[in-house]
Amino acid sequence: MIKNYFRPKTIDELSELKLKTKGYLFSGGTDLFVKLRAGTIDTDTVIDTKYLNSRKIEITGNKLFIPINATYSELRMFIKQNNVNNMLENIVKTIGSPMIRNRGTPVGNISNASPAGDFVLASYLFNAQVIIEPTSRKLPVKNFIKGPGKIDLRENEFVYGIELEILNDYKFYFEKVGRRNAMIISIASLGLLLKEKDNKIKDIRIAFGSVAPYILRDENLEKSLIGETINEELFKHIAIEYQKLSSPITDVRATKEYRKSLVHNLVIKAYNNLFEKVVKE
Amino acid sequence: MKIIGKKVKRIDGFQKAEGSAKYASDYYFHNMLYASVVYANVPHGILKNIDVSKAYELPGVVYVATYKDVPGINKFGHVIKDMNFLVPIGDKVRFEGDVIALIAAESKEIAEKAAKLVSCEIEELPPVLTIDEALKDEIIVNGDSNIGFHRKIRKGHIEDAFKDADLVLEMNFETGYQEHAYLEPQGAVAYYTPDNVMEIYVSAQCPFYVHEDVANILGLPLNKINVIQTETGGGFGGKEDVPSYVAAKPALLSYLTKRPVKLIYTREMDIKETSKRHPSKSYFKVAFKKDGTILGVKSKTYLDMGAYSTLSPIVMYRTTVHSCGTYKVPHVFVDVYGVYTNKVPCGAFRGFGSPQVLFAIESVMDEAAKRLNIDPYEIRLKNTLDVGDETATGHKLTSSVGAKKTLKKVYEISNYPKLKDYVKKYNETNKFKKLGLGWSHIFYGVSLGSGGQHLDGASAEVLIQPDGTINIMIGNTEMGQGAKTTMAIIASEILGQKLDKISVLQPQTLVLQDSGPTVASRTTIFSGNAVRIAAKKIKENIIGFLSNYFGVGKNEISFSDGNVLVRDKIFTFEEITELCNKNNVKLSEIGWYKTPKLHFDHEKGIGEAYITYTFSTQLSLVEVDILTGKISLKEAWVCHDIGKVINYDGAIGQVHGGVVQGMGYAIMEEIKQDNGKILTDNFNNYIIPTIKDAPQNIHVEFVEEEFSEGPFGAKGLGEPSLMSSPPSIANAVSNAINKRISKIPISMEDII
Repeated sequence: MIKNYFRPKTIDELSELKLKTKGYLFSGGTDLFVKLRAGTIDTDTVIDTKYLNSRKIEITGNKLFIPINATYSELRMFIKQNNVNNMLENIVKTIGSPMIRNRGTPVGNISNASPAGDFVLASYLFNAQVIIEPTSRKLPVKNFIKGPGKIDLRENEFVYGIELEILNDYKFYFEKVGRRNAMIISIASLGLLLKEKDNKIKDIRIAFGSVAPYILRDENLEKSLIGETINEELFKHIAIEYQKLSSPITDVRATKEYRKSLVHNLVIKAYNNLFEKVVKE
Repeated sequence: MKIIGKKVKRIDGFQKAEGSAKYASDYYFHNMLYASVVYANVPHGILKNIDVSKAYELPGVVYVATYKDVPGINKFGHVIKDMNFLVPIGDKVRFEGDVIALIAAESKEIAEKAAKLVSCEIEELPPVLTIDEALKDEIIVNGDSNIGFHRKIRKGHIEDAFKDADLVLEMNFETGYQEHAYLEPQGAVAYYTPDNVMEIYVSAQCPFYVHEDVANILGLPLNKINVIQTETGGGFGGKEDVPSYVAAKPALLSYLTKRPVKLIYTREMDIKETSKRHPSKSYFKVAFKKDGTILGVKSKTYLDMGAYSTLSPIVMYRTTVHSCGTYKVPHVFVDVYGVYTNKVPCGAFRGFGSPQVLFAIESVMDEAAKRLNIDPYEIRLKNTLDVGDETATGHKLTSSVGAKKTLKKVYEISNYPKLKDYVKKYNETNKFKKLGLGWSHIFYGVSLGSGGQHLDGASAEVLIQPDGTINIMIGNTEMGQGAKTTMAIIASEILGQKLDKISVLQPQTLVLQDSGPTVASRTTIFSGNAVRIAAKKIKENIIGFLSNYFGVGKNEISFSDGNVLVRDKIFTFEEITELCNKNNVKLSEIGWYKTPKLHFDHEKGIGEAYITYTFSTQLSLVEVDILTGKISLKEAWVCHDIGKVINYDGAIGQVHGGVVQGMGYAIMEEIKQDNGKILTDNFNNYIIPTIKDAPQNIHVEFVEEEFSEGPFGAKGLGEPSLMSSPPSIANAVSNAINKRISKIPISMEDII
C-alpha cells in the first residue's frame, strides 16, 4: 500500500528523494500501477515526477529531445506539428490505447527495459542517447539497457530524457505482430529504416522486439549490407541471418518456433511492402 | 405498430453513460466488512487440515469461516449436488479454484492479507487434465466415472444413410474455452439485517437461483431472503448459476457476523474460479447424396465439464439438439458426453453448448460442398428447414420458419456472386494476403424447452402512478442486453404512454414470483409476454372505467403517443391516470406467462425440443496474412429471423456484439493452463477483441416470420447473434488458405 507520496520540483530534490526513500518514480503510472496491483513491485513510496521543472519536447540541431513526463500523445502531436521523424508515428500509434498513450511515457518505457517495449525498439532504431541526471551522464540506449528489466542507473540517478536522431529520406517499415490490433504486447515486432541510392543500400537499420532478451539489432550485419543491390534475394539473406541471431522464448503469448518464423517473414514482408507492392494495403 | 420495431433511446442509457447506475461494487453500508477467499490452488488432492489461527491473529480480521460454519447444506449443483461450497477436511479438492475458507475483515486489504495467512494441508493427487485422459477412467475426478452424463438422439437407421450415400465425410473437431469477459466482475453485498432478513445485492442474471441456493446454504426459509439484482455489467451466461456461489460467500459471513459484507471479485479470481464455455472434441460422420442432400448424421461429442457438473447436463441437452444444425436429416445418431476433469467447471455461455457442434456441422457442410462441387450457399439452401419439415429431433415445424429467407437475404445484400469474383481476383494477384468467404446457417431453440420446462414461466408487475408515470418490475434481468428498453417498448405500445415516462426496476425476489432464469434468449418472450398481459389488464381496467364515466363505447377509447382519445376528446395520459386514481380504478396488475407443454422423449432424444426456433445466416469476409498468420474479419453480412423486431437498436446492437464476441471465440480467445492452473487470468494475456478488431461493416437484416406465442410475434436473439459467427469465420479462413480448419480458436501459428 502506498503510504508516502512526494512531488519533487528540482533535479536535486528528485535525486535525493530517490536515494533516501528507495521509492519508485511515477509519471504516467501505466506500468507502475499494474505492477503494484499484481504485487510484482512492492513499495510504500512513490515519487511523482510530473511536477519536475524540466525541458519540453524539442528539436536541438539534428536531435529530437523527449523529456521525462512527455507522453506518447504529446510526442505524437509534436512530430506531426513539426513534421519530424514521422516514421515514429507508426510505432507510437500501436502502443496501448488512447488512454494509455495519454498517460504513458517513452522515458518510462525505456526505463522498464522490456524486450517487448515498442518505444525501446524505436529508440534503438533512432540511435537514442539516454540522458541521466543529476550526473549528466549520456549513453547510447544499447549500453543503458543491460537485459530484460536491467538498466545502467545508480541509486541517485534517473532518466531525464532521451535524444533521438532526426532522420530524413528513409524508407520505413514497422510491424507489431499480436493477436489483436490494440492493447497488445507484441509477439514479435520489426522496425526497419532504409536509405537507398540507385537501387542500392546507402544506410539500413533493422531492429526486432520480443525475439531476444533485448532488442535485436546487429550493426555489423547492417554495415555489411551497405552498397548491396536491393532485391528479394538480399532480403531473403537478411531474413535468414536475423533468424539465426534471434533467440526467442516460449511464453504465454507464443512459442519460440513461431517467433523464429516471424523474424524471417517480417523481413520478407518489409521488402514486399517497401519495394514490391505485391501486398495491397 | 406505434413504437414496436422503431428506433428509440435506450431507457437506462443515460445513467450508465454518466456513471450513476449502481453496480454491485457501488453498494456501501454502515459498518460493512470486506470478504476475501482462500483457494485450494492445487488441481487435485485431499484436504487434510486447515489452520486459520494465523489469520485470526491479524488485527481487523472479524471471522474466518470454513465448512464447519455452514448452517445449511454445504453443496451446490443444478442437476446433481456434486460441488462443495467450502471443502470439508477429508474431502477432495478437484480444481485450483475450490474454496477452503472465507474471511471477513474491516478492510479489503486486511481481508486479502489474512487470506494468505490461512494454511491448508492438501495431499496432492495426479490430476486429470484432458478429455482423453478422463475417458480412460484411471483416475476418477468426481462420482463413479469421469463420464458423468450422456445424451443422445436416435432417429431412423443411420447405417442406411451411409449405405445409400454418394459421399461420406468423417471429420474431427476441437474447440477451446471461452471466458465471458463481462465488463463487471462477479460481486455481491450481503446484509443479514437485525430483523433476520438476508438482503443480497448481487450482479446476476438469475436472482431466483441465488435465492434458492443461499437458502440451502444458510438453512433459511425463502421468505427471509431478498435477492436484489444490481445493475449488471454483462453476463453472457457467466452470471447464470455462478452468482449463487459468489453471493453465498458474503451471505455466510454476514450471517455469522451480523454485519454487512462485501465481496467483489478481482478479474484474476473471476477467471480462475468461475465458469467458461466448455472445451469440446467431436467426431462427425455425415452422409450426402451427389446433389448435396444430407442423408444422415452420426456424431459423438465430448464436453469438458471441469471438476463439477453445475449446468453441464442442461448444456448438453442443447448440444444434442443442435448437433445436426438447421437441416433436414432423416437418419440421426448423436451422442453427447459430459466429462469430468480437474479444471475450472464449465457452464452457461451465450449459445449454451451449441457453438461447439455448430462449428463442426457447418464445417462439414462446407467440406461437402467443396467435394461435390456445389456452392456453400446452395448446399445450405437445399437442406435447410422450412414449414412442414422436421428438425433432427423429429419436431415438425408448423410456423415461423424464416430459415430460407435469411439465406436469400444475405445472398442478396452481400451481392454474393460479385463478391466471390472479387475475392478470386484478389487472391490471384496477392501473394501474401488471402481473402476468404465463409457461410454459416444456424438455428437456435428459444428458451429452455423440454430441457427445463419447469422453469418456463415469468411474472411481471406493471404499476401506473397517479401522475401517469409507470413502473415495471420483471422477474428477468437487465444485464446490458437492453431488456429494460424492450419491456418499456411493449408497455408503451399497449398503454400509449411515452417511453421516457416508463421505468423498469431491478428485480427483488421477495416481491415477484420465480420467473426462471434470464438465459436461453427467453426474456423478450417470457417477461415481454408477462408485461404485455399485465399492461393489457390495466388497459381494460381503464377502458372499463372510462366507458362508464363518459358514457362511450369501449371501442371509442384509444391510447397513443402519451394521449388517450375518448370518442372525440383528447386527454393526456396523465389526466386520465389522475382521474382513474381518484376513482379507485386498479392501476397495477401482475402478468404471468407460461408456455404450452412440449412433448419430448429424453431416452431417444425425439420430440418437440423447444417452443420455437430462431434462424440465422452469416457470410464473413476475412483476410489472412500468410506471413504472420494474422486473421482479420473485414466484413460480415448477417440475417436473423427473430419473429418480430421489438427494440430495433437493441437488436442491431445484439448482432454487432454477437458477431464480434463470436469472432473472439473463433480467432483470439484462449485459456492457457499449466498443470490445471489458468495462466491467462487477465485481459493482458486473455485476448478479447477491441474496437480496433471489429470489422468496419457488419450488415444486419432481420426476417420477421411471426411466432404466434411471442409478444407481437417476437422470438429470441441474444444467443444466435453470437452463434452464427464462429462457423462463418472458420469457414472463411478455410476458404482463404484452402485448408480445412478443424480447431478453434484458430491459432496464428497454425496458419504459417
